[in-house]
Amino acid sequence: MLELEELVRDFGSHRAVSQVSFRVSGGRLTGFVGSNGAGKTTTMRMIMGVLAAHGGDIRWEGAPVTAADRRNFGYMPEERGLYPKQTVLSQLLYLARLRGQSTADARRHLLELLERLGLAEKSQSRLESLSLGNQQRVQIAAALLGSPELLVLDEPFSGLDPHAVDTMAELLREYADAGIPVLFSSHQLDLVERLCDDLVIMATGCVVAKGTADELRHRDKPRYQLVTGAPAHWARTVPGVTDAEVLPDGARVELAADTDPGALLAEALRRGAVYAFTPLVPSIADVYREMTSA
Amino acid sequence: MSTVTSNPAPRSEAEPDPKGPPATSAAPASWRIVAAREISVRLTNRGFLLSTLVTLALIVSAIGLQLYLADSTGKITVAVADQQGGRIAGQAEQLALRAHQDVEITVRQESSAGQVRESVRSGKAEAGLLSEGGRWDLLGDTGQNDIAATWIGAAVQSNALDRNAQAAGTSLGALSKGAELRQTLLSADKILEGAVRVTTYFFAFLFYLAAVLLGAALATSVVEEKQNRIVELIASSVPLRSLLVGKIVGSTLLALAQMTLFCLVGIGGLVFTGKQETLTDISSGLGWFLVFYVVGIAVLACLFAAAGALATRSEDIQSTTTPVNAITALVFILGVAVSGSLREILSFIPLTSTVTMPARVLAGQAAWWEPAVALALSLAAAMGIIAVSARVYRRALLQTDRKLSFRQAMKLAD
Repeated sequence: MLELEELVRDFGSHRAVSQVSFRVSGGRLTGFVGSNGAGKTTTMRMIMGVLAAHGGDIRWEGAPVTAADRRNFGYMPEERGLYPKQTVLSQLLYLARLRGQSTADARRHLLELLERLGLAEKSQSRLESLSLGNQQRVQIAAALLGSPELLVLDEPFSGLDPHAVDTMAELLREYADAGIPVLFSSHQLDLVERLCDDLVIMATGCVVAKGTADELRHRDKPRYQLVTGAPAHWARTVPGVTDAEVLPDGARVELAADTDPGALLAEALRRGAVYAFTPLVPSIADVYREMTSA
Repeated sequence: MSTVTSNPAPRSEAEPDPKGPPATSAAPASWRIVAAREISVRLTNRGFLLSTLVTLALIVSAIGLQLYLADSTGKITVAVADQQGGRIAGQAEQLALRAHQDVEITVRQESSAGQVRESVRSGKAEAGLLSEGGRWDLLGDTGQNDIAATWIGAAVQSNALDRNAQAAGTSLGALSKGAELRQTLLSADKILEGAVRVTTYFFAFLFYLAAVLLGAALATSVVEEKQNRIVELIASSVPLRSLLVGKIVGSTLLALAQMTLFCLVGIGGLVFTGKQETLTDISSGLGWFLVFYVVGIAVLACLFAAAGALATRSEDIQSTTTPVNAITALVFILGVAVSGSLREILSFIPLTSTVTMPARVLAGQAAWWEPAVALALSLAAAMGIIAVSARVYRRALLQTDRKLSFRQAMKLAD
């Protein structure tokens, strides 16, 4: 498990990351969202040791993270790039060896990885001769070298075609299912909602929300849409209702945290016909907008 | 992208996947992996191979030109109008050969003085030799031929002296008795000052040449990862100092291999053209020069790496390496030009010590500890420069939009 505790990073007088704390647990996909400049990339760079932290702790399996630990972390940086004039296999082999793997082991594992990514036939091609899509696949392979114990992926879906997005999503799921903690950032909130077990939302350098997707969606007071065919002004007077927006065919109602919605429904039924009584659960996109709009 | 149907590649913590190779502690140091890649990439680079071949071709051409010139410069044709002129020309050739000069004089017999002049004017003969009223006249067209002037002049003088001696009732040998000056060297076993100078020039030039070969290539190689934006991926695997050291070692080894190749071809050329004596001069105290040369190149390589670290793209290299190129030129000029106490001071300063200290050692002007101190200072400088370069490189790592000044890079936080 990766744990971040009160992580801080300044650039001159600007505090880019402020007291950031969250954890990425084994076997779970953790989505990392926030607008541009929120501090996601800086946080990921500190996790990978590319940038030094100016405060706080990063712990891996309970102990402060070391350079040796990081060699076993798979990383896809925001700034993508490989050696354009070198062949696919030779540069991936080079990167694997820099991570401490022996040539023979790394080669065997790489050939399997390239096969999986549909790049086996391109292994001896120069990177610059490949299509953009294939170059992105090589970039993915570079992040999955060896057997990473943690994946830190900055915008892994950015620039991918729909098929590649599906494969990438599938790969991330497989890694998480195999017990690996996976942290990835993305602006594609629908994808994040579909994929993630946990979420961390950042705004202006701070974590503004974190938890499971369900927890975040249900973090506010419960809200219901009531359709009765007429404006439901009476809803405001029902005990437990903290707010009610009267609509031409009913009302949108907010209840106090521990209120039983049954009382509201019973009152509505007592007053006449009820065509719909639906809980209003916000999407992750709604939660994100709400959390980052301030 | 293809659909993935096989088992996942990752492993669980409880169940290690045998497919995934673990990081092994027996793996070679990362700088060695970087150096090996550096060498293999450059050896397959067309530009590198081409520049090496072109330089080799230039060296071979220079040797060929020297052979041609050596073959043709000693050969002249002298036009004469009578047999006496022919004899003088023959004596001139003998005198030159006795003085170990490679001179060949061909006599062109003409029937009249007018034809002799015509031969010289038309270029059929380099010189003409005419006798008028007991005086000899050496003819040239627009200028006098040096060989003819020297050796025919000597032959005419010797002839006249002999004739005059006989007229005076004595001989040329008796006349020149006691006129010979015997020359003796008291310390012939010591290395000649001239030889030291030749060696100094030679290594100063080699140093400059190595800087040209190594400089831009190393700085470009250092900026390569930044330009390709792969540096972040590498920085997450290995310390950036290892990356820099690997690049310095790889590029320096290649530059030294190139220089060795050029020198071997050059030495082969000197032997082939019969100029072994130059070789003997240069080889005097070669050991000291070689040691300082390798250390000097290493210091220079560190400086070029620092210049590369400041750049963001290869286009910036020219401006960031300008100060280092200026230092190299200065080392070359100072190395061969200075003397006295200034040379003594420079012989301890890293880089300038590369040629000045071995020159002092060879000239017998340095105590045993002085080269050791100079070498230690150079190595310390190399390590210091690598440390600063790595710091600059790390701090300027994520500045991919512009090149930095040294001061700006140092101001950035890690």
